[in-house]
Amino acid sequence: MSQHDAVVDRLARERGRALVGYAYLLTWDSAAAEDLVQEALVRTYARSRRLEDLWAAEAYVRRTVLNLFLDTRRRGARWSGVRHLVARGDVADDAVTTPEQLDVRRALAELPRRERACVVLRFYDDLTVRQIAERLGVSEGAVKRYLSTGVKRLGHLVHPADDAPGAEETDVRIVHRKGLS
Amino acid sequence: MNELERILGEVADGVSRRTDALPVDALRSRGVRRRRARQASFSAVGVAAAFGLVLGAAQVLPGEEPPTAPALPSGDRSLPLGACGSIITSIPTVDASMSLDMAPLHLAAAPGDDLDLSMTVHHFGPGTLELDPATVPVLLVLREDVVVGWAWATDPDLSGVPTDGERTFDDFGPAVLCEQGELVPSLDGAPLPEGSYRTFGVLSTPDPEAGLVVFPGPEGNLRLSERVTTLPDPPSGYTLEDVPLPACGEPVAGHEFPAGTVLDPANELRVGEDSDTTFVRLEARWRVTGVEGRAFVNDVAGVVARDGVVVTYVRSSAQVDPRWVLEGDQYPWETTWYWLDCETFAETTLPAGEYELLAMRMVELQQPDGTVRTVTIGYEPVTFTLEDTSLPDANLAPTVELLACGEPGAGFTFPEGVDPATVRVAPTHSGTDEDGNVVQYLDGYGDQLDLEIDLPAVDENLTPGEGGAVVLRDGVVVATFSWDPYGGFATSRHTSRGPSQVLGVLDWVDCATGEHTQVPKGEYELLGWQRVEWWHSGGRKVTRTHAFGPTAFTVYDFEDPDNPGPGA
Repeated sequence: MSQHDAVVDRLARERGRALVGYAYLLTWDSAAAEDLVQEALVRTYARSRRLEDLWAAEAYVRRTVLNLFLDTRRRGARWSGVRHLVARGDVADDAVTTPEQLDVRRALAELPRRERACVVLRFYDDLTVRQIAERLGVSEGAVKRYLSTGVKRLGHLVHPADDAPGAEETDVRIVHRKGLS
Repeated sequence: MNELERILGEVADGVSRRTDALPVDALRSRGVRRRRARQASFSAVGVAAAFGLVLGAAQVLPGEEPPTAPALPSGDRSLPLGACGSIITSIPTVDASMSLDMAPLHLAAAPGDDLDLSMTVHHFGPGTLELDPATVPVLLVLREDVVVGWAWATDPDLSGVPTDGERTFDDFGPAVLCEQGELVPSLDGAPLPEGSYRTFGVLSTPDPEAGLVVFPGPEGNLRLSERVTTLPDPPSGYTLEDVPLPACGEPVAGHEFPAGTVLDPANELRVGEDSDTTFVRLEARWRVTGVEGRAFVNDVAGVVARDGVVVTYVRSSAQVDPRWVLEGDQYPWETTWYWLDCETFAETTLPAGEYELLAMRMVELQQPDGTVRTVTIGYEPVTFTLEDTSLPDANLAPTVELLACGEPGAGFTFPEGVDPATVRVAPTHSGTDEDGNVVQYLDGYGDQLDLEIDLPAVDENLTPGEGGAVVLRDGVVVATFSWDPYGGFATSRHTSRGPSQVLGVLDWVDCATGEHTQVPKGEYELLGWQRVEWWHSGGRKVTRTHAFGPTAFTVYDFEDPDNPGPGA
């Protein structure tokens, strides 16, 4: 087995479940999350350029998961007409157990995929606006706009808790806000 | 940490705990298979209707069409995909936690005989995969893209498939005519007549909403003929010898194919128009004369020269589903190949320019008497040009020279070749709300402009490229904007209402001062362009320039007591 395959093996065994958890926050569907991660891992095994450490492999898989998730049309085409055949039940309901989790799922489900991805990258991956823009290949202004929409939908849930350092990490530049400061 | 961060963390942790271990061995196997397939990317396409096929141990020789064929179901676009009479040109392949295989892909049988066919559902996901009890494994049989008949597994075992498990259905009956509009096999139709058909293996399930849903499997062929003979299995362990072509670094001038190579003008080779500096698509037609048999090896190799010296090569996979090749018939063939470095064999990008391709095909035919014969075909050298498609094609997507600061807008026209688009402009500013969250305010004033550019629908997700805009006030340019290719300014999305959108936010830089400032209140017009590219479903990259405006917009001033704007 090549070093590359061994690294991806280890990633799948040690971090596979966590990756599914990450993918779930994008899809809010257990089966779809597992599919995303499996496809991302297959692509990682298949890539011709080698990955030689676990960190790089996980970063690559997470990016691939994100790209696959954003690749809406192809995923939709793949799975249209398939779900009726796979009677797994609503696994998502098992994964989301509390009223507040249901609230979050409902709010995120209404967001377009790119906006949902921004929210997850910001509030789960703890990325800054600049990092999200780089990850998605969009302008910082666009990320701010997406986050703005997402935050509006999620309302009270993004109020900082008492011990929250999170808001301070936001690298948003406040510009020319006449009358608001 | 705020509530949202806490909840997202809890959900992700919960899902992680509930998730079974991933099927690592199966995933690796699929990845390695895909890697190998890409390294020796080979795809044979579209088999001509008039040929026989050999599979397993059975051979079908060509049969004549019956003088009078029964009426076949007719194409009806209103029928759900998979129903009798529905029209299918392609079905996307599923390769995820569940997949459907079919063996053999190329079938041969006498009309009315049971098919020696098996379909296998693979389950790579966790837990047990439960199939709907109404599911029927069906071989859809098509003539000219219309489902005209089918064969089905009469008593399939639809019990759950455990993780990493599989369920095989192999009790298929004969291929029979279906009844127009029938969703799943419910009647025993008459046997389909002799001839060649296209096939898809699917799992069909009636659905109260859609009428019918199908889980797609692979595409294949079915040859129905009364004349069936048997061949022994092909020799095993066969490998092609080194191909007699110049090696990397060697000149191509003066090369001659070995004696016995067939040089037949009917054997055409073309370089696909969508080839670029990263990959090539080869299209060919080929035939054999004076011989027929089962082509169990069909290998194409070529070398690519620049300035007369070999710089890289192309190579298809040698072994494919064996097919019966008829003497004199032509067969289409196609392969996609990513350019490789001659020394490292890593994927590489070739410089744009003129190239020459020298290629040959080796076909190993197992003849009806069981003997093997090698046919070597030489292709005429092909000259082709690789263009750098990372830059838009100027003919399709012209660059727009917009006005400069201070220039009047009167008389400005966009160049020929641009496509129209509409734009919405909203003065905007970003900031944080009282809770420290990022907010983008679209309330009519600010130091930025928010653009939404609506574009005609495209086949796939588009990538924004270069673009620019100018803003005019009283007919004179007061601000200019340009953006770098590929996402520096914008992102794109599909919308449920059809058109695609490019979204972006521009920092206002005033012409007069060169400074990033608040946009002065007043009436403005915006004029601009956006280049986009996307991959067409046919595999071709499409590049277009869209022009928009002049579009009027109003900028307010929050501190203006008489007219602070809609956001006040």
